[in-house]
Amino acid sequence: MAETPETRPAEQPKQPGEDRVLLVVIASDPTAMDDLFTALLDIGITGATVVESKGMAAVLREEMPIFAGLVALLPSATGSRMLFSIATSEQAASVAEFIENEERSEARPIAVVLPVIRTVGLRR
Amino acid sequence: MEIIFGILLLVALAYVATSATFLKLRRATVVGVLVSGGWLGVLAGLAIGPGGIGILSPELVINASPLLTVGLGWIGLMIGLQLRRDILKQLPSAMIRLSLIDALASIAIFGFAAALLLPYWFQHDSAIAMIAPVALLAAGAIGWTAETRSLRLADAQNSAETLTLRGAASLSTPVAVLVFSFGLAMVRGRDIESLTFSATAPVLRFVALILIAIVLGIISRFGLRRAQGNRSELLAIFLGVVAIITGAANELEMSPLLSAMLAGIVIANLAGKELRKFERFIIEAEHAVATLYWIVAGVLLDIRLGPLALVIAAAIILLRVVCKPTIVAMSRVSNSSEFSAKQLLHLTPIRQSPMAIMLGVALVIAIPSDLNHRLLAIVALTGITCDVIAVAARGLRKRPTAAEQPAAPTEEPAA
Repeated sequence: MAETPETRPAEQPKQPGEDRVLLVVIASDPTAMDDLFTALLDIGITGATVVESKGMAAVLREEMPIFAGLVALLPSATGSRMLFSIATSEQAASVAEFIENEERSEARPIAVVLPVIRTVGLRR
Repeated sequence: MEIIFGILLLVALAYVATSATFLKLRRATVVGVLVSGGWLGVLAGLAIGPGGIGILSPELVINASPLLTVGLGWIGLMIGLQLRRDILKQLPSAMIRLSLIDALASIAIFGFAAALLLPYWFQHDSAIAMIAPVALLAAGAIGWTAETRSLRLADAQNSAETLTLRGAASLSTPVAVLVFSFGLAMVRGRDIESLTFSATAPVLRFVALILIAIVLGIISRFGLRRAQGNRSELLAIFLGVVAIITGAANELEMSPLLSAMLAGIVIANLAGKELRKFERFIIEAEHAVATLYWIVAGVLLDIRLGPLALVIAAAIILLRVVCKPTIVAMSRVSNSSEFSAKQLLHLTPIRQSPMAIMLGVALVIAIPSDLNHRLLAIVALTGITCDVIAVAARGLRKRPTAAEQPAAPTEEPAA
């Protein structure tokens, strides 16, 4: 039987710090990520997953090389990275503020904050 | 005023050709081949040139040669920056062997054929006038396109054969620049009637260019450290490097492609971690710069080819179709019996390297004679025909059915 709004259990009010969000940061400049790590620790985010990444334009360019085909053939560090972290909305706001105000404009990463409905296996 | 309009038009066309719509179009098989070979750009140039609506004339483009020389310097720098020790050390021996065998065989076969056929077509008294065109056809024949995706051989796309072919194609580019530039440096002068020959002077000028490139490399290293990835400072360093090295090449009467390539090699091997940003900054413009020169090639080429010119084009095409797969087979780069791998090894080498068109443009800018304008048309004609042959052959050669394939070896049951 489909669950109606009336039969759904009432949501408990969230305690401060329980409103979890997914913070995603994409940085093409390695120095920007270096500064960000320090900021994350200052803000209180001590856990995150960092993935080496490559921009779509680079992939498109590499699959159709004209003069610079050799570099694309070998696995090499692009310097571009993606960071994922489950944080509180307050912490995410602080990170966004840091990126907006502290990072150099030409090295400024892209940051996205997404709501988290449920987490499993998260150790704190 | 006309020159400014012409340059703006070329830049606008190059911008359109690198737009999102074109990025999507080039992912299709036939359009992908047309774009990666540069043929859409060449056709666009032909349409706006004297052969089409006539907005741009070859004379106007030649008058803008200082700017075009800077662009050739950009291409040379891009090629040179790849030749880093750490990259070269990682290359498999099969890739280097294939590249060397192909370069030597191509220079011998296509150089000999060009030296044999061109005098009949040119009908010029002076053998000196033949040197640069022979160098163009020999150097333009070295290697093949490094783009393998548009042949849609999905099974082979990430195979060892693909990597070997793409790597060998990329290694062939600097060899082609070297061969062409030495051929061009052997003759001095811009007028085909008053060219002079020197076999030793290019070597001395080459040594002088290396010395200039080393000094420039050391200065660039210092500049790159100071820039710390700032894009406007990287642009200033890039323009400084290209201006100095192409200026030196002009004074020494050497090709800007070669001089910038030498500078690129020195910078790539001297600069430290700062190089990555500089390299990325330059390589990001690869497609835009290439498209610009393909359009320029379309404007510069003269399609009034007589029967003898068509015979030369047909001979080059025939030699490519016959010799290139044979060279790859002789180099023993693969023992794979996979259908896709065999097809890839057979068809990719037929396709001409996009560098051939750039070398043709460099020749016309250096010696803007009628014959060189037509020679550029021959290079374009052979390139597009070879691409069409590769795509058509891919379509014709059907994948064997399961019944036609040899049976896979089965394991003997244990006794």
